[in-house]
Amino acid sequence: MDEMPKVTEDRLDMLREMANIGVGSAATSLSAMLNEEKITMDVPQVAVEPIQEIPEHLGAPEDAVGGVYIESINEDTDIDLILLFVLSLSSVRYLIKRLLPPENTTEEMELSLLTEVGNIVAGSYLSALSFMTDRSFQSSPPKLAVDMAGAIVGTIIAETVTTDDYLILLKTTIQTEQEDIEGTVLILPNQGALDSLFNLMGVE
Amino acid sequence: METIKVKIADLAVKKEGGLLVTIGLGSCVGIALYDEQAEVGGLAHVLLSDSKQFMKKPSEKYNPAKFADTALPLLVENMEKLGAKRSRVVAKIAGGSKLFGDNSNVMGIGERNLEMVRKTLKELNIPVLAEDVGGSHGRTMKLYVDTGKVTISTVGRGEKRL
Repeated sequence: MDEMPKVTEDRLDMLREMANIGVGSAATSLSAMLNEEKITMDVPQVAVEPIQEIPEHLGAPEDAVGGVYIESINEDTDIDLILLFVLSLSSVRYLIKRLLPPENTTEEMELSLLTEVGNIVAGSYLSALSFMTDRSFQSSPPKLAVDMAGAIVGTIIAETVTTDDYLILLKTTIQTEQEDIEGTVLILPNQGALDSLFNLMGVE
Repeated sequence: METIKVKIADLAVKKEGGLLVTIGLGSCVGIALYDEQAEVGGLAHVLLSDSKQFMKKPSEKYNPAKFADTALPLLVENMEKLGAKRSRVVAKIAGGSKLFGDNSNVMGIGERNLEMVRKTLKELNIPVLAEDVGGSHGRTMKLYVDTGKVTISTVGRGEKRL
C-alpha cells in the first residue's frame, strides 16, 4: 500500500467546508423534490481512509445499500475522480415511497428515481469541489447498483483501476420532517490526485 | 467460532478449525483454498487481475494481495508454512460479477479477474472444484476450516453451499 497521505487539521477543515456546501445544495434540491418546508442537516463527518476500511464505515458491509457513482475529470490537471453516493436501504425505501405514486410503479421506475437522486447529490458535491478548487469537472452519466456496500465499493475501485489506496469519506444525515436520510459521499481520486486536490484548495 | 475477516485486497490462512470469511465480492474474486489432510485453509479477496499491467515500474511497492497473479502464490506459500502440501490443495472460487450492469468494456473487470484466477491456479496445479461466478450481484464467501465447507450468500437470496 502507498504511504498514508498527510491529513492535517487544515485539510480536514477544507473538506468539512466542501461537504457543507455540497450537502447544503443537495438538501435544497431534495427539499424541493419532497415538498418539504423544513430540512435540517448534521455537520458532516469527514475523513481520509484506506480503501480496505471503507465497507465498515458504510454500516454492516453485508447489508444492501443503494450506490450511485459518477466519474469526473478535470483535463487541465489530470485529476480524475469518482464520486460515489451511498444511501441506506431504509432511506432508499423512504424516497421511493415519497416520490413515486403508490400504485403501478415498476422496478425500472424505482431504479431510475434512485439514479436521479444519486446524480443530484453527487452533482452537488462535485459543484462544491469545483467551487473550492476553482476548476471545472466534466462528469459521466450516473451508474447505479443496489447490493452489499462492500461489493459496490470494491467493484468501483476495481473498475476505475487508477484509484489511489486512500479516499475521502464525507458522511452526512439530512433530516426531513418525517425521516432521516442517511447518506455517505465517497470521493475516490486517482493516484496522486489527493495531494493535487488539496493544493488547488490552497492547503498544504 | 474463531473468525478471521478477509478485507478487500487481503488474504489470510488458518489451521484446524474456525472460519475465514470475506464480505461483499462484486467484480472482485474470492478464492478459497483447502488441504483436507492438513486441515489448512486459505482465503483471498483479489481486486484486480494482473499486477504487471497496473504497476508502472517493477520497483514500485504494492500490496500483493490486491492482484490475482501475486495473491495466489503467496496464499499457497502461507498455507505451506502451516503444513499444507500444494499437491493436496483444492480451490473454490466466487465473485467476478458485473454490479453496474453492462458497460462498454468488451470484457469486464470481473471476467478478467476470473480468467487470471483460473490461469494462476492452473499454473500452481491446483484444481478448481466449484465456482459461483458472474451475474450482477454481490457475494459473501465463507470457508469452514474444520471441514473445507464453502458457503456463498447473496442479498435477498440467502446462503447456499458451494
